[in-house]
Amino acid sequence: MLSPSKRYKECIDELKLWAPVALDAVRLLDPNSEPNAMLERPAFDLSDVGAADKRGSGLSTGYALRRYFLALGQFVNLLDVLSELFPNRSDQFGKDLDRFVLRQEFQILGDSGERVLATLAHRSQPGHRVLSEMFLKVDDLADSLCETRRYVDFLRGTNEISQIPLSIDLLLRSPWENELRQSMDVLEYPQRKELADRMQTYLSKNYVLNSMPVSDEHTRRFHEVLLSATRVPGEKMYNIDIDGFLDQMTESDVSDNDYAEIRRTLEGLAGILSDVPFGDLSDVLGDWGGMRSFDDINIIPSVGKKGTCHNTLLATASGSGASRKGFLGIMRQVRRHLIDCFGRTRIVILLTDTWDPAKFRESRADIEAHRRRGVVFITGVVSGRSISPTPLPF
Amino acid sequence: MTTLKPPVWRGWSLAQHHEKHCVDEPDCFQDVLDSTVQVAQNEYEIASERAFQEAFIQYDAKEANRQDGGFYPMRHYRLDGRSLKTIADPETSSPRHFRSCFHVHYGKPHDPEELNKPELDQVFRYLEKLEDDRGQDMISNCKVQVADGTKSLGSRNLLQLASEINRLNDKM
Repeated sequence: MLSPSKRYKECIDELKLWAPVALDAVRLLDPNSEPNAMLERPAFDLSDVGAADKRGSGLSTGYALRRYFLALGQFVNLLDVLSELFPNRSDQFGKDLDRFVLRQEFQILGDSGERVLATLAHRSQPGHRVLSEMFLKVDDLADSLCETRRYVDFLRGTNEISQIPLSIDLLLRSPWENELRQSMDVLEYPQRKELADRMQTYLSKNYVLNSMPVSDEHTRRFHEVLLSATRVPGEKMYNIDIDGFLDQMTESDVSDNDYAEIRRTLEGLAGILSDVPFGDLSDVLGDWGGMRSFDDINIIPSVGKKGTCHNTLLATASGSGASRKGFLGIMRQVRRHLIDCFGRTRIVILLTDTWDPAKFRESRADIEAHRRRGVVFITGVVSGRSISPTPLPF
Repeated sequence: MTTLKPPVWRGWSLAQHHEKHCVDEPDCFQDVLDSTVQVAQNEYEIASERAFQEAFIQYDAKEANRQDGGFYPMRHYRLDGRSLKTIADPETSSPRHFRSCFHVHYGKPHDPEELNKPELDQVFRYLEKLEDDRGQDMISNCKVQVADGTKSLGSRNLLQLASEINRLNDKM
């Protein structure tokens, strides 16, 4: 899964590419023309044309506008998620969005602009054909779900400009939606699993997340249809034995606040893990900092500056090696942190998907020294979709 | 952009792909080539060579084998302004053969209306599909380039296509 900052940059790059084209196309629109004719005209001024443009082969206004609204909608939906995860960045998110919303340009067109958008929404619908023939294969169903995701984001983009509700209402509770759901229900287990794996990868890359619904009700409901494709009936979500982890602290000198903080952290982790594979966790948690549920703790590994030392450190190791995410690499970062934050970080949560007691050898003396000074280590092993408390082997 | 060594069809492969794309489902290629009768094998061969030469975009990649799972070996792919996709061995292969040529339908039944869309709209639509495939880990080692068919485009259309390709390559 991409880190939030990388996905943010991807969305901005797409808007930088399509907003200027949409702006030019809108300025060239003749409000007195029929909407279909407006959408079919070339997106660019014909004063600079090639042979293909003369054949009417260049980019159309309809396509350019669709891509702009798609890019805008993706960004708005992403900001919904990121504002929830990183509330301290909301102001910056709002400023970045304002740079790309062509509200005034469309308002100049008046009713004509609204008609163009409504026509464009109708023409762009993924569900205007009979679907039953399509959904015989996982591949076709996956393509269709991706196309639907693009359409839902496109509609969200038009909502930033248009005063009238566009046709997402036509999708919700429509034969299209029913057919999507039914097609998934009739798939045999191997196909259902293949679809779930592909859509989990696709939707998480696009930050359509189980744990983080967008604020717009229509979009949220349709995202739920898409997200249902990522779940295989009968398969469990991640299960964290939170009480078992808290039991590891009973012999230690910890406060009720410590218990509450550890519980909140592990519950937050369970939520994130419904969308993010454990191996990718640090890309999301350790990117910007200030993420809700994790804003008052330190995270390892982390790409940004270390910042303030907190009471609790969460370290997640994936693999056994000395890389940034590997167990040996993580333990070195943990030791460094406990030196830098001596006397301030008092609780270390260490989760790893590779449990090898021999690998603790190079850290044992440090851990025992920190323990004598009151640092509490809470450790657990990730196995499949289960995270179980596993005390240190010494 | 110039291809030094164009691919050629092997006889049995040409016959097989002509059968699949022009005989089993004749309407599609008839519409693409604007023909009133079933497209003959030599017409299919010429169409594939033309689609290859006049393609708007080209890329080498490993694409997922959607029938049998796994990935195909590294291949060279091109798409023209009618959404005709040609697949060939990479440029460095010797001998170099065509692997397939077909009209892209995006998992839906053939719709002749799609052919009425501007060529560049169709090419951009295909790039969206590549982006979706990348999002599902269904394509790897992909680097897209503009191809010779874009010579007929005006500078702004060409610039937009090149910029979109750059954006996509950054994500790949």
